[in-house]
Amino acid sequence: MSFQLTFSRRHKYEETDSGIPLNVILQFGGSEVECAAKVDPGAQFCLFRREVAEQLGIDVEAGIKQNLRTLNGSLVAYGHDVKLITLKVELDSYVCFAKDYGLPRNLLGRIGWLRRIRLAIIDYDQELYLSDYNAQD
Amino acid sequence: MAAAAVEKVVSEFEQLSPEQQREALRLLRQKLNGSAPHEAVTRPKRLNERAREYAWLEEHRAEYLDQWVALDGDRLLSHGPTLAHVRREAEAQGVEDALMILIETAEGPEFQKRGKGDRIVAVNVPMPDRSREHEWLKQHEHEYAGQWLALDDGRLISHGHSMKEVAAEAKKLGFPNPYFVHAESPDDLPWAGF
Repeated sequence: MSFQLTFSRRHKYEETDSGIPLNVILQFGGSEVECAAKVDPGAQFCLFRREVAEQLGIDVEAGIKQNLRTLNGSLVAYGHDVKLITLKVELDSYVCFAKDYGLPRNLLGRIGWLRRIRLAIIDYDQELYLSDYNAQD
Repeated sequence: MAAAAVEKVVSEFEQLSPEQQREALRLLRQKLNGSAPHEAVTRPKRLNERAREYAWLEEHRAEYLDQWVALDGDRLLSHGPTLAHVRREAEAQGVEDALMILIETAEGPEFQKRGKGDRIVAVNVPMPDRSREHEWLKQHEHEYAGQWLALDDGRLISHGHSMKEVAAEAKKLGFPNPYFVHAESPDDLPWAGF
């Protein structure tokens, strides 16, 4: 048995890239920040640096506190509703921002991103395919 | 202002494209209403890619509240209750990359779903092509390892250890919406997750 999926967008990344990066635009209120984030299907949440939240004018600690488990312990983050754009698909998303400065990278995880899109990765060719997931199809 | 000067302004206005005229009127309205004068400057330039669509939305938003609309330039291809509906109708007209947006109100049924799960609110929205910035990063990122970089127009605009300061410097130099990167070093150990 074989399966076929179709996607509206294809994105090429570099073999030399660390992880699978995507350009992301985050919007909150009247502000927006464009930055890089790594695709991480193993992450439960989208997690961004505190610095990005501050640039958007978000009061980080006013969000929903989330204790997140990591490979070597835990970290505290706060969840906020923002708009998140990747590959021309705009979502109302629940995104966590780290409590502390200096988070090593921004992550695109399941809640807030992956569960509202269709995604395929052919890492051998450094290709990522993406469409919006339309629950009302 | 002398009558001749007013006539000159009107004459120049008439020579603008319809999009430029709308933008000029918007700016004038802003000035008359006393709103923030820098707003037009900070409007992301990526939106110019869909200027006709966004001008249409500004003009017709009230007529399509709580509906999805599909637009090709200033042409309304479809409107209806779901993204699937407007996508089907847009594609039936041969338009594969229509801008599809949910026009919502705070009282509407879609807005009430907020916080009950993520949802798609627009498709085919403009995003800047950052391939030139990525080319620059390939050559130079390692020189700035551990710093915040603001990139635009294929080049480095500002850099430093504070994102806030880097952003402020970029804005001061006329780049209010740059692409922010926290530079990595090629000597960093491979990533194994948090």
